Amino acid sequence: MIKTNDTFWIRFFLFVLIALLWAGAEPALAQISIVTAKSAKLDSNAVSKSALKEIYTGAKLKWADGNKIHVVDQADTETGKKFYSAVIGKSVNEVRKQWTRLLLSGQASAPLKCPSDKIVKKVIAANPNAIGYIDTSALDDTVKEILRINGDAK
Amino acid sequence: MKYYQGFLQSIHGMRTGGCVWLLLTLCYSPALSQEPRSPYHGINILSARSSLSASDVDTSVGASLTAETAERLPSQGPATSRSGGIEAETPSAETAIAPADTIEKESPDEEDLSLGEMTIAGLTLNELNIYGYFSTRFEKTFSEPGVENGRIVKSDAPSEFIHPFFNILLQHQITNKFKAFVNINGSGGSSIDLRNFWGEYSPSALFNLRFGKIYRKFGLYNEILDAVPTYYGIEPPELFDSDHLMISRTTTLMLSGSLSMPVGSFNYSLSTDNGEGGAAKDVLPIGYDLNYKFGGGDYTLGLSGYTSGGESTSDISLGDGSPRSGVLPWMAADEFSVFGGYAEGKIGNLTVQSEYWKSPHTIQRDPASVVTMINGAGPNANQLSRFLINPFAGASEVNVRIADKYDVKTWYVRAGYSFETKAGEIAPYVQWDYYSNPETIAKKRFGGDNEAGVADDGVFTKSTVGVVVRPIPQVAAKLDQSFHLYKLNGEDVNYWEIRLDVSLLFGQVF
Repeated sequence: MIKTNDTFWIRFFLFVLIALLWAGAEPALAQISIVTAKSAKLDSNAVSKSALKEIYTGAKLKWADGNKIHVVDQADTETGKKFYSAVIGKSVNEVRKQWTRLLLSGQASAPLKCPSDKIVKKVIAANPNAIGYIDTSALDDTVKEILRINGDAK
Repeated sequence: MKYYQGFLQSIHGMRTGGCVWLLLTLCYSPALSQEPRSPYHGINILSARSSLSASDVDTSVGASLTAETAERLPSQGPATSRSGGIEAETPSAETAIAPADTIEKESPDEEDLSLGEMTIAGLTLNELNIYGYFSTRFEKTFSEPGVENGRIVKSDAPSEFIHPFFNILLQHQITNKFKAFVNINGSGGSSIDLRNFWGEYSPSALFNLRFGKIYRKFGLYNEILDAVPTYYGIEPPELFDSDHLMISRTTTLMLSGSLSMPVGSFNYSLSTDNGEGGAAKDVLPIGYDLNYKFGGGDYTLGLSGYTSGGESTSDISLGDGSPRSGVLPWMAADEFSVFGGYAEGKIGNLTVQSEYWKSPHTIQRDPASVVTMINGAGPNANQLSRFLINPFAGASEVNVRIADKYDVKTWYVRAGYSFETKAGEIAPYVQWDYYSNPETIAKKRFGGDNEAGVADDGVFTKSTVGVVVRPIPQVAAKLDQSFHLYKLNGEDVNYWEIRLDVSLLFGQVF
């Protein structure tokens, strides 16, 4: 016969057990993988977070070998929102304005806007000078991860 | 240890609410199986579903790049583009978690899209991007001072609609290392002007060779002066105001590059051309720019300069209007330089810019041109005392002061803040401009300008407040009001003007 008081303690210990299991699990932080084509010459960590911001805001337009950086974006997706928050620190509209400025002065052409991680991977895999970002959970062997960032970090 | 750290994490931040909720639920709910989700769990679940669904819907969002068409996309192959550029309907969080059948109803059939319709600007080679913008401007000046019978009188100028810009731009990425660009401008809605045409070869990020008619890299604005919809303000900084340019905007051959540093990058450019008045013996003009960008491109510190490399002449004849260079049309020879610095900071949605420029001139005036200018333009007393040895003796070639020196100076501060609202972007801005040129005159037809040239001492300041409204990224409406202050007839005077500029971007813009 379990008394009411015992029920409370059973539930309490059950809570502690679940809480410990929950806390011990890998934190459910959204992670974003910066990817290039497998044939790209960039090594892992060749692009820093700061350089990434330069690339996505149009401050850096060419790879070291002079080839144009093909910027692949997915700003309107959930991954894109996390990426802009964690890496760019500006609104998408603000960044678009900067790219338009570069377009109107002939310094750059616009990034390619994709609707999903899947499309980004397809595009990246086909172009050795392209760079893009996807949710780490979507990472597979069609592309090469060169940097991983915490999507919740500012 | 891991569990302990995780537990510590859980009692901080977002998990705290979840733990408390869970504790209360477990301890007091009548049935353990009816465990409610915490609001924080909800966020995780939503993001997981969103990313999952975004993958799902990529085959049903017709206006976007799709998996199938991406497969068809050659890495080095030709490409064309869809009107409207790469802007496409992409799934929002709400759309992404909507039932697939709903999305399919709203989207065109993927099979209807051919490669020719795809929006792949910026990705493939052999791409030809065509885009541009046009703008219409309204201006009105109020209470503009003038001198009549030795007294200051004020009058309003008629309001005026003008069409300052119609730009069609073509950019062709021929290969990853070769690019061509053409900028065709329809000034005033009546004449066509080829503003830019150049080709660029980029053997490395450090060396890019551009040749043709090029806006030189100089300060923050010269390269982007035809990008009016994208910057704060309607008028360009005084350095590059067409009434009183300190140097020509374009050059012919430009070497530029970028060197990545552990923090930020150094960017440079060197340029040369025929010079302001065309080719001259033993004259080699050099323009240069060096800047350091850091903070992911948010901060820029730079300096730019130009030397005429010898004695140059004006690019325009006396009586044909304001020069498109730094040399006034009554000069027989002008050896000059321009030097200055600039800084820009973007802190969140706040942008602050400032530039300072000084241009020392060593001149030889052409006596005949000076006499013509004095007789036609009627300079003020201060200007006459500069041009003539004896300003009371009348204009004659023997009375013209030939050799002289003068400095042109200008600086400005601009700041703007962008608010994003449901109605689009609203961005108020303020500007403060200073400009000083003792040599110029008022009459534009004779090469002067009606700002500094009107002032007794060639100095004016201008304060501006305005706002940019962008209901959609392709439309920018700017409204501003400027107060001009200067000395006229020995008195401090001012007038104000309002401007409204509406521009519309079209084609392959981001």
